[in-house]
Amino acid sequence: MTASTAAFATTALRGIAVAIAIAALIDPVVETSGRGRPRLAVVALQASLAAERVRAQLVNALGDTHEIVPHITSDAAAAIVIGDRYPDEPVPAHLLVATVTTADPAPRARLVRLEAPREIPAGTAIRVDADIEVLDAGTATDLTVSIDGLEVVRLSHRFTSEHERWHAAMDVVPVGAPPWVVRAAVAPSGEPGSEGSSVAHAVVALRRDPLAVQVFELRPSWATAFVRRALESDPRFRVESVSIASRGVEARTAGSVALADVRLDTFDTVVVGGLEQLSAADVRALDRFMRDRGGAVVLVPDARVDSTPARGLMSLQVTERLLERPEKLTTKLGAAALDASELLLLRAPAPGVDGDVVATAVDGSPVILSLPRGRGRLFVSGALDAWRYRASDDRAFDRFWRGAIAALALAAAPPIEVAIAPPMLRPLERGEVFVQLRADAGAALTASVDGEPIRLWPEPEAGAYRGVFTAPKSPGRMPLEVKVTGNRPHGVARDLVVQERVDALAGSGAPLSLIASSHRGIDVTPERLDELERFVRATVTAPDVAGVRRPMRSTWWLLPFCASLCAEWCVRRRLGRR
Amino acid sequence: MNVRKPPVLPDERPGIRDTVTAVSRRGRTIAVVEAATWGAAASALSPALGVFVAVAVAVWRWRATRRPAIVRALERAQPSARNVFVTADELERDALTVKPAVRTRVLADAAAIARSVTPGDLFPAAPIVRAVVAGLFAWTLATTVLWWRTVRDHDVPPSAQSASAGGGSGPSSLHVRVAVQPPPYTQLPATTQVDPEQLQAVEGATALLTIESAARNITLEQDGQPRTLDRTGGAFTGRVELTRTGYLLIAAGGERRMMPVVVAPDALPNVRIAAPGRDLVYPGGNPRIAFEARATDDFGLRSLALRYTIVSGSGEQFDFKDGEIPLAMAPRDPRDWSGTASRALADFGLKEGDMLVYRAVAADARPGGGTASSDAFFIEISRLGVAAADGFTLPDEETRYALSQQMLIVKTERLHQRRNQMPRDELTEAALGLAVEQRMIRAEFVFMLGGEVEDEEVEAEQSSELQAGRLENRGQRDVRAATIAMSRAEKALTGADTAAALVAERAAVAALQRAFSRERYLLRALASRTRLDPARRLTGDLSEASDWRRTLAPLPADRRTALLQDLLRGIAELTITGDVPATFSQRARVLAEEAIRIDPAAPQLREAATAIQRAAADAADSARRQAALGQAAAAAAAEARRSFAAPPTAMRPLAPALGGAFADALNARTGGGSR
Repeated sequence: MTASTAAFATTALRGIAVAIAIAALIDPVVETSGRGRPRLAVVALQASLAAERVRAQLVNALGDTHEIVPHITSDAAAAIVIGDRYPDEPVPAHLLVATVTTADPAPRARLVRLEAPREIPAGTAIRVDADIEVLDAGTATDLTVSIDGLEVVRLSHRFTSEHERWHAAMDVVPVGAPPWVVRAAVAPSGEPGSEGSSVAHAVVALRRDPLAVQVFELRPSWATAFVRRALESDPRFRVESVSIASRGVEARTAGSVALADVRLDTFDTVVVGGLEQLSAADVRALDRFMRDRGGAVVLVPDARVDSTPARGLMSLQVTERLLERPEKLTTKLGAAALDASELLLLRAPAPGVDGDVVATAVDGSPVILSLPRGRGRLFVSGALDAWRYRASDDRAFDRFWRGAIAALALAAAPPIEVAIAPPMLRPLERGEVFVQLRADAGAALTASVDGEPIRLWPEPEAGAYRGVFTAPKSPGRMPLEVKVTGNRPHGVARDLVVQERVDALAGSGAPLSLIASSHRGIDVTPERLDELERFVRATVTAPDVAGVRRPMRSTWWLLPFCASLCAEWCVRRRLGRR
Repeated sequence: MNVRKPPVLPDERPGIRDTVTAVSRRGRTIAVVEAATWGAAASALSPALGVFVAVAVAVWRWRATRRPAIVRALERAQPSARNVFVTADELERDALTVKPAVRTRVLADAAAIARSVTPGDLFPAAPIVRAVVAGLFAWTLATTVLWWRTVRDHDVPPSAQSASAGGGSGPSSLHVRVAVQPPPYTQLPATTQVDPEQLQAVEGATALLTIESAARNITLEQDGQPRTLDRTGGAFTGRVELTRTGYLLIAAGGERRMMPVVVAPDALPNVRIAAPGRDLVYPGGNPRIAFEARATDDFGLRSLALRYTIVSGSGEQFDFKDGEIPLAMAPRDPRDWSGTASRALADFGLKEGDMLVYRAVAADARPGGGTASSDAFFIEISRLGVAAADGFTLPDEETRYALSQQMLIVKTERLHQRRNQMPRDELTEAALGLAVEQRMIRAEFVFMLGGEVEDEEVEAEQSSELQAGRLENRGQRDVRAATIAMSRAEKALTGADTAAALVAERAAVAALQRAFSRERYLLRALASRTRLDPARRLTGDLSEASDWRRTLAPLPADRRTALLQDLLRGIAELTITGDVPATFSQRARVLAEEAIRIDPAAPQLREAATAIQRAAADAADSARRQAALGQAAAAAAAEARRSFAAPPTAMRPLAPALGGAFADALNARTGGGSR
């Protein structure tokens, strides 16, 4: 290397290093523009093999042009949700969402409805109603109901047409400790392996307090007396009675109260006989009991009702019918069938207030009605002389009145009504508790699940509160307690059922496709992913990106900077310079 | 000392090879037989172990049958050979190179010595003998261990047994043979069953139990009454009388066997009077009356008789005289008898106003006799005839109502006569007035009688207001017919149809007269509890009437429902339990006993108990045990369903406040009331 060449090289290398240093000090800004990669959230709601397979296919198909993330983020351009039901978590309203519904193939037979009472008294069978639907005609199905792991009912049915629906009503006995988890399963007959093709659960609690009934016999009346006796011989009821035998002479039980007494609210149901003796004040008290207390009033006439106060209370059009021979009334709602020969045919004055027709005459005329009155019910029996045939049909008279008044008492508003949604939870699932106070007089309310307090928020309706809680992580039964403190402190305890598997009814809940409809997306099946891919490519475009870059902030500049200085030093040393 | 060796011929060279081959063949035969024998001995413990032992022994013994081992054995067997077999072997295998002469000589010596060795010297049969002896011992032990283990188990105290017993899932050593001997009068054959799940017998049968068990003591419990059985010969025997449905529980050491017993009762004879079969009233004369009585029974009849009672007198002075009319019997078979008799009225010596009440009485063949009688009928002497005889002795109250009904007929007749002269509206109004009157009479009847009662005995238990002892009879039916006729009359009068009303009213009077006629009143069973005293009505002091406090008697605890709930819970626990078969079996047998003790007479509970016991026996077979438990659950649930109260009526839930408010609004617009 000649000296001139070396001097040039030294100068050039030094210049490069100085230039880099100067540029770093200046830190110039470079503005860029162009299209970036859109961020696409591909979310599998359920951890299933099918969902993961779909997700992998979508990542392969769209990963080259989109930035795939597993969760919905705030900057996601769109989302693809894979699953079989509407997600629990909310989705941003502005987000474009497409869905891939991975629902299992529809079973040949499925449960579409399962109903059981929310609570029952001790020693009472549970009425279970189920609706089953099949795809094909000629399908024979087995419906099994089990409680506490024990099969208590098995019914078989053969369907004769496609998409036929069969209603099954069963009375089952509770097994084990309350609350009872009723499990219904339907499967094609002869296919024991597919026993779980359609399964649903319901929870039934135990009513620990007796059903409180007050009976008023305003004059001696066989009709009311035999209703009272039917209840008194059943340990599920706490029956108090006032029987007016004559003017100023009455027989009463120790816990009975007068109609106008506010303590009447401690009863769930009031039974009244001798209606022509009802005064206007009595009617007002009964009306208040129904509307404010939410209780049930049962009117048991034994003759045509002509007195004005009683007619006002009934508010029904009444026609008397006398028969030569007793006829068996057609009862509904699972009530026992009564015999009667003297009937009052009841008709509501306007359509829409018919309430429940509990029993009808042979020609279909209503004889026994249950009508709404405010928060409560009015139950009117037009079977005037049914008590005469009380021994027939295995004491159907007693069974009818016990069943009817038990239902009325159970439907009466308790001081604190607690509802849990959903009734059964999976571990760590979010649940809601609804509390309704019968009398909300500024009382303080506390609630807890398994000792953990729940914050209750007031609802628009008076006395209604709502709270959210998370189920414990371990399955089992946890106590849920709601307490009211104040002048009359009282509380309610429920057992919360948490178990790993909670089957929902087929077709219950919102479908996943609903979220695609509401978020401008499309819903496809796993077999139509190419259609989804085309939709995403056409709809989810890459955003225009206006970038600002500072190139000198790259650490890579250190490399040429150091290299230049090192080379310059080497050249100088080879030339013998220092 | 040098001994001259025998001359060796060249053709003797192959002799050692033959010897080795023969010895090897025997050795291998011995090895195979010995291995098989040891394997058979070991298979007494386990078949797999037997195969393993056989293979091991065969491999071990096989090593001694190879040529080097045999050559060494020959050397050991003939120490005088001084290694000549080993040298000959090496020469034959060309492992040693020597001069031909030496080779010839060595081979010749070896062959000469080998001739003195027999295969049996090297492989004797003694190992086979030893193996056979061992096999016999092992199999003897295996076949007898079950027996003496059972004996040993029963030697330990019962407290120690209960911890380890339970029947287990293995084959049971408790066998029960039951010979059921029906009562002799039934003429049914005896039956014998072995290990029955359930016993069925006629009431009064005798069951002879023969129980084979290795236990020292056996306890037999019949319906909660335990007793100890004695061993007779090789088995325990016991005799039980089967008089009612129940159960037998056999406890033998750690094993228990429960057998539901279903006893079919011997029904009472069914007796009826075929002729005359109705009440007769004669004004006098001497008519001849033919009687015919029939009786049937499920197993056989012993007697059939026609008995009578003559009632004579009047007022409070009545005389009763009993007698019997001999029947000419004509039995069709032992279970169906009939008898006839014919008597003139004068034979009974009846006077005016006397009455003869007769009935047929039959007894079946059981010891002590189950006796039943037919309906009773009467024969009365009355010159007034049938119509006049009715009603004249009615009690005051009933008479008043009957007379009221008669008065209503008079009124209706008058109205009917005037109907053509009356305006329509006036006729209708008058008829409606009579309808109200008719309704009041009917209401008085119904109220007084406490309604129409189907099951009087049950009603009497619960209702102190009712007159006791009104058993359902024809009089009861007559009362019902009267009230029905009154309803029909009321309906006709409401429609101003006086002709139809008259027919119905007269029918009502006739029914009342039948119901309260003197004869029916006498034949009615007298009240066993309270008798109404009409004379005391409206005679009390009103000032003494005051309030009173009703106190309800506490209801008895529903023990049966609680027990059924516990049974269901027990079955549920057995269904999901992970117990070993022995523990499961023990728990299941306890539950089976609980099921049968709840109510042995309930067929569903017997079925449940039997199924649970079957599950206990099939404890080791998961599928069969689950099937049996499923059957038990179905039966127990069906029985429990009867004990549980019916579910409440399914009322539609109200929309809070809105449903009532909506109804109020509609009511306010349209109004309501009676029409």
